[in-house]
Amino acid sequence: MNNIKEQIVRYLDGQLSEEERIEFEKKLRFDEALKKAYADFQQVNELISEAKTPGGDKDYFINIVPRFRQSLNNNIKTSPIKKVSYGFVTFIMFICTFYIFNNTGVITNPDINSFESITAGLSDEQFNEARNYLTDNTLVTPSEDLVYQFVNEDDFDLEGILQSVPSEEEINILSDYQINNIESFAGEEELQQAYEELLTKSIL
Amino acid sequence: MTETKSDSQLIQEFISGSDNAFNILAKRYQQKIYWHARRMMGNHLDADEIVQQVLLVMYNKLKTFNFQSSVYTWVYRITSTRSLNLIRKNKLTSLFAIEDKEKETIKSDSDIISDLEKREKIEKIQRYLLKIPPKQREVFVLRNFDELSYEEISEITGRSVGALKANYFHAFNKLKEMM
Repeated sequence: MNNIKEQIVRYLDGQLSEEERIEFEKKLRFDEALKKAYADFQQVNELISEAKTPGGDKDYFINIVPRFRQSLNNNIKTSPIKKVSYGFVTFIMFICTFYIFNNTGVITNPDINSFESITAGLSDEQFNEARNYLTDNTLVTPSEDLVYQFVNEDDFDLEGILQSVPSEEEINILSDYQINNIESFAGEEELQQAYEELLTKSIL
Repeated sequence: MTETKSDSQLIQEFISGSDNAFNILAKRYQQKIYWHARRMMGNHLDADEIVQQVLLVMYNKLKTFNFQSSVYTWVYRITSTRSLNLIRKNKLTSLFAIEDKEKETIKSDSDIISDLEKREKIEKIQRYLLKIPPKQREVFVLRNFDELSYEEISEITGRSVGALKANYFHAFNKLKEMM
């Protein structure tokens, strides 16, 4: 079927050679299916012919070149202004971006929300809660010195844990916080030793 | 007297500084540019925009025109390219545009064809043409309305004659199926 369609289109488009055209026209006289298909394509051709000479408003065409000349002159006059305004807008956008970036808390102010000021006077539990909260919210990362200071207080003394076993007293099970802080400043060997001792002494 | 000057003569005069030579050349091609753009875009406003764009390109590039092709094919090449670009741009804009319906009303209300019967016939074929892919539409318009040979269309579009004939067949077939 596609072959027939192609032949019809080529015929209507004038692509057939003289011999092919004569052959096609002969077939068209006697082949009913071809006649019908040809009639359908002819419809398109007729629609094209009707739309080929549209005319149109003469004044429009008379004014095309004068309008072009006018816009050419306007472009020449306004182009320096355009350049300056584009430059100005770019500059403003840069300033705004810098201001936004500077004030979102990405660059932190050490005086406000310092770890010390937040955690002063907190109990261990409160401290852990505060630290977890701050760490989760990435507002402040406690310094190593500060962590070490806490770990070296009585209940968190690594050396004390390793050397003594509280028998009558209640055993302090190390919280995640404590383990994390030991890990942050203890060396590997020291850490390994600590874990073994803690396991042996049933603290963990 | 000026009307009988050839394209290359006018270009030479324009290069030598005659702005009037450009005006004559522009008037010579403005209808061809407009109607080709009109059949590609389907409305007067877009066609008008393309006419102005093509004239601007001609104005800027004519001084470096190297006569490797005829001015005729060169102008059609610019018009075709600009039309395809605007089709692409309109397609993207229509994905995001909120005032789409308003713009479409403005586009359909503006026209330079006052004869209602003629306008209806043109709008009928335009509606069908807009439904076929732009590149097939391009070949169909250049062949049927601009009455160019496949060799000329090949020069304008950069595609082979075989590919163009295939495009033409598919366009014709689709139009027939739509009617």
